[in-house]
Amino acid sequence: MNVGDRVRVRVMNPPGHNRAPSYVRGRCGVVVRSVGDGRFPDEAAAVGSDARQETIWTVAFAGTELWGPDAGPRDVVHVDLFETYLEGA
Amino acid sequence: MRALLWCEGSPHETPGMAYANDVGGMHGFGDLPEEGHGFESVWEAQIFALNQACVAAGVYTLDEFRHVMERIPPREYYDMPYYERWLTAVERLLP
Amino acid sequence: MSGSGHHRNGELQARVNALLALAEERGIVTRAQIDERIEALGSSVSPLNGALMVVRSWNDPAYRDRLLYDAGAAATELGIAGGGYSSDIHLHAVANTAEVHNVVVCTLCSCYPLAWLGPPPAWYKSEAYRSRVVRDPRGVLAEFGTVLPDDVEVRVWDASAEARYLVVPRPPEGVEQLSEDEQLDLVTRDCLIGVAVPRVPVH
Repeated sequence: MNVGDRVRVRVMNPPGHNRAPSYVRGRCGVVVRSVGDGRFPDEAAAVGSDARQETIWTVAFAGTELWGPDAGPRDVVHVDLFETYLEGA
Repeated sequence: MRALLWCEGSPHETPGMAYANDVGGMHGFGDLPEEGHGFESVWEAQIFALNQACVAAGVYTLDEFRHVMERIPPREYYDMPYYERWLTAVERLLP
Repeated sequence: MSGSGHHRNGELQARVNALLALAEERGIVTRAQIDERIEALGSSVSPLNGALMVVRSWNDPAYRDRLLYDAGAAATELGIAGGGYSSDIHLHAVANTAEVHNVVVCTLCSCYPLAWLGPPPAWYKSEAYRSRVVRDPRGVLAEFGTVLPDDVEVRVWDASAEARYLVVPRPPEGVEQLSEDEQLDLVTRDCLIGVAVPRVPVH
């Protein structure tokens, strides 16, 4: 995965902790930046500081992709997402 | 750029289950509250600092804290003052 | 909805006192150390830190480049400590231009560049702000008196992981007539979050 890639946020419903906001699940965007590595939250909530490190990507979503025609045509929402939350699109 | 951001065939049904904290896009929360200082009472600053100290000391991770807070049932969660949610989470994590 | 809970302050304070006693007993943190943390939040950590970085970037293009490349290092350069919860948290600066306006939120909780700006205002933590600014950023900005032209792209930054965002506003017209101290007054907390833009007062 890299900057410029088109990605989709996985549709997922884990019972535990997860840091992919529901409003971006299933939506497509473009990777605009690498934030670096972070402790994978789903795991860190369960096992603490032993959780694995994973790359975090900033993904840009068009407002219209998230909200349909009710969004402003020039609104873009950026969300920082762990790589596991993303798949190629 | 905006054309690139669009993806054909994106599902527009409700994308997933959410805890009470996951409010992005939700309707109905009303007007923005009046301007308030960072901490309005001593206990708010204290629970904030205590949580910071517990994370720094490795008592629990920030994600454990967030997860415990997210598991407060929505009805109670929205009824609580902001820092009471923190207090409730630390009460469950510290003992 | 989440009010300030003033009428229950006694009960809530008692619950916090019990936790503070427990934490001290367990050797996690003393009352004195808690007080020191609160003292730091009230004094050394404030929006003035962010304002110092922005004003320097207005007056020093090389600093602006460094700020946009690595905001944490650019903060350290000015003696602004950062840190906070853990070294995992790092700062990223996003610059407003004639074509782009940036605004920051955390929809999942209330992540905020606290180590650089101090504790967040009540509205930033509210469900009202967090739910709405990702869906209708222009509407929310207008409520703060910030009305953007239609052709400006609004970029919302939802801080859902380890990055914290700082908005670098554009220098307002007439800013060059002001001293650096006067410029600092223009860069309010709300400008650094992106709900306001700095304005030179008309005398």
